[in-house]
Amino acid sequence: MMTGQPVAKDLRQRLPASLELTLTALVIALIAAVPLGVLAALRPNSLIDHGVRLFCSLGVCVPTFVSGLLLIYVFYYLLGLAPDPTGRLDIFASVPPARTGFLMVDFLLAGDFEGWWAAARQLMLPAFTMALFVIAPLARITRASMLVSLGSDFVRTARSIGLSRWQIVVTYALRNAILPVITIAGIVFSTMLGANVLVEKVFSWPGVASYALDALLVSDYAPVQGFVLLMASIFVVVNLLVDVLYGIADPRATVA
Amino acid sequence: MSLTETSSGLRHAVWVLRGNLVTATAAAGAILLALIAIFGPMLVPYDPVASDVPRALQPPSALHWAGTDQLGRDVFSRLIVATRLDLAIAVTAVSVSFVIGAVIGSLCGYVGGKLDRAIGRFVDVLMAFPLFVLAMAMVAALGNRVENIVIATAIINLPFYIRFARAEVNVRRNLGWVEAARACGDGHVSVVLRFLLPNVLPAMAVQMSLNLGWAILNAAGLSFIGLGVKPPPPEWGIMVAEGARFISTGRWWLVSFPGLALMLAVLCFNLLGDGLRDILDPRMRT
Repeated sequence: MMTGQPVAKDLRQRLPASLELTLTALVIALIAAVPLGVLAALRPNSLIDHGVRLFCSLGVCVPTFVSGLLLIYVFYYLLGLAPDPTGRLDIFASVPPARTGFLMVDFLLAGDFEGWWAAARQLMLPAFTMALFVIAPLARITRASMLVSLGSDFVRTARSIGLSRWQIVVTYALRNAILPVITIAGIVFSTMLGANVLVEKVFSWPGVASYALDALLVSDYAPVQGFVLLMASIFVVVNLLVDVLYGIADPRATVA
Repeated sequence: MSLTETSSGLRHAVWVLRGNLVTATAAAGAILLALIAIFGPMLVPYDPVASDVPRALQPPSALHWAGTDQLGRDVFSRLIVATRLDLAIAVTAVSVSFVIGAVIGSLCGYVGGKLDRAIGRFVDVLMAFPLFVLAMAMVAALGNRVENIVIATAIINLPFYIRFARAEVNVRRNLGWVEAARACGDGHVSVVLRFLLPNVLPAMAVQMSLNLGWAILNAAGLSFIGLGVKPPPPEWGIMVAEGARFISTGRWWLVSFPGLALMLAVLCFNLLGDGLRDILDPRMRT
């Protein structure tokens, strides 16, 4: 093939970079979206609610490749906060001994915190770009299902026996509202695998998607086939994972 | 549809629009976009493909409203001209998948049985792929042309329409008025075409408007990574891709304006879809 190596080997080498990026983005999106959705649901039609709704409507409209480039412009060119937006590490930086392939984990295992910070800084912009795109559906579904569970009988009961607000909202309402969020997170993950292609291209991220793209542009189809197959398998595994999580979150769900 | 029904439908639409400023704005925006797509190329101040190298990479000014690119081409003119291509790709793709999806879906829902299961599995297989990746692979396999972007976008939209039409027809096929139509001697084809489809179409139209925005994003994404539309004809995704090389030296206008155009177009169709749902399908009102 283009690199003179079997496609499987190339893909295996690059997969950790893509997974590291996608998973970080998913975590960022969930951390941002769930509180936003909960806040919006606690005060429906308030300023927060409208703000979240506006943010969500805009978030799904901006293509990832545009928001990525604008983030580069603001944080790299204007503010100088972000490092050069190419690749996972500075070219001259030392690479930690590869154990897992996840740079963040490898640096931690090697005890090199400076390196860890450098890798984290490189990861931030692309991860935020991807997260921005998927916060909207997650926040929207959190808000909708929180509204339902806040209006239910068990929340009223909890309130009437004088439990603290935090306990009512987080322990009772959110626990019951989280199911649809998990489902949507699974669907969102599929969108992210696609968005991954664009983000990796924008940030020259050496992952599987940019590998497939490079191959595609020189009409080398075997890597592309391998890539599509890999993405489909990941998606299937993620869906399985979602079903398992479902069982954990809601003990009533059984294997039908 | 009789005249009175049409006018009462129109009155309802006007009533909803008056009460809902957001939808009205979105509808106006969509109409404006369509007008730009039709008449834009005649009105632009500069030739969108004529290069003027001495004036390359100028920031926005009174002369060039959105600046110039690396070949001195006027970004604003290119944006306007690109509208036609971008909208054409999205509208064609969504219409194709709407028609095919409605036919296949209602057939599945009406006939049921083996056919339903076979097509159901096929749809499941399609949905097992991340859709953007699938579109990318299809364009790669079919050849790097604009038609193939349309085909790929149509195919990745197809599962939603098939499922939707199937579900809607399936719940209706044994209802009283369908039985009545059959008892009156209508054949299966006529039952589906004259009685079931008209009931399903409004909801699908909403779906279509919501999908238009998504289709625009997909097509722009594909051309951003170098698939489909070939330069020099202007296209929003390509304009962003070309501008990307200049972003880390601070030439923001090359990326921001096409990005803004994409964003506004998608926003219009999304909001319009939400509004249409309120008008056509009051059951799903949120």
